[in-house]
Amino acid sequence: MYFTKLEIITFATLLSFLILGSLATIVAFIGVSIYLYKYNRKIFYYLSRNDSDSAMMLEGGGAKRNEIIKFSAIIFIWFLIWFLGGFQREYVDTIIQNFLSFWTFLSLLSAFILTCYLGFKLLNTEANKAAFTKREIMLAGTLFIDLTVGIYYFYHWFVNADHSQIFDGHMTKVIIHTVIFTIIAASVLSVTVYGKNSEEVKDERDLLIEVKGYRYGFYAVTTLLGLLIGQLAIDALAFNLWGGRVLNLNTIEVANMLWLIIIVAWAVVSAAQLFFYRRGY
Amino acid sequence: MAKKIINNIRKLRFEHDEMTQAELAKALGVTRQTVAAMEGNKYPPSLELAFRLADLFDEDISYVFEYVDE
Repeated sequence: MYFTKLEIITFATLLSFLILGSLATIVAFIGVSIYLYKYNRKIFYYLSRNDSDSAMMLEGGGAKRNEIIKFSAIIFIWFLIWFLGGFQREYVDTIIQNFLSFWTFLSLLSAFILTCYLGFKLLNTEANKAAFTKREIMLAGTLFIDLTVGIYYFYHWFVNADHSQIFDGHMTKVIIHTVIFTIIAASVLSVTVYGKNSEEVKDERDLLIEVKGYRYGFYAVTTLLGLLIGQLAIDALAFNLWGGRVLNLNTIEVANMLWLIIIVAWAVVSAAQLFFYRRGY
Repeated sequence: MAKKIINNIRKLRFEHDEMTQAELAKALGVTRQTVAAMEGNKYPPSLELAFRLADLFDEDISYVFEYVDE
């Protein structure tokens, strides 16, 4: 079991919606289209042959059940693009607001579906029958807390916040909830997993996996920063050419996007480490 | 032709009083998961750890680890 390049590209581009809806759109559509095409062919091959799981293992993907779940998830995302796109155009006036709210919703949904799928894939293969170690449970728990906090905070930020201030009335409540949840969840996780015992000793494999996880985190940071810088450059270019900016990001919004990049990078580090522990490094 | 590293750790464990993975891990100062990963050819150990393994089993390193055609 391993993640194919297409799976990684698609997951990364869908996550990038969280940062920059407009700039990521083209890349994401290409990624999703390739993905859809590829699994459509796999499903067709499976149905036409109607034999063993080997038909579904063209790229080492997994059991047929996994392929069907992936295929269904992608179809569902396309359905939402079609349905919500039409709905939003009818009832909301501002095009940019439509665009941002639509892609925010879509990105959250995609991230949720793909996170569920990745969890499913990590937990349901022959290679993963061994019990989780304490370190792996901690990594999975940290990843869950990261994603929950990130999705909760940024959903409220994109949808309801006053984007001219860091802490408006609504966001202050959200931040208090976020901090309380993080403290409680991290404490419960730590006490549940380790109890009174100290943390397990790290050996050379643990350190190598840790380094590899940080490497992927670095890739995530540089990629997302590149996208953010690109978006700002495109905004400036549009301003000079047409006298109006595409997204008109203010300083507070840029600060929040940088914060989002940090959260995504930490989630990538935890996910990569967990992946290498489960897959075997 | 491509080559890969395989090992005889499992065999050597059983030849040494049916040593468990946990016992071997404790003797080497690594986690049991690392021993399991090495046995399953999923993790190639560092040169130092490979020599420590060979020392522990009192075998030549070329017997513990073999470099064979895939």
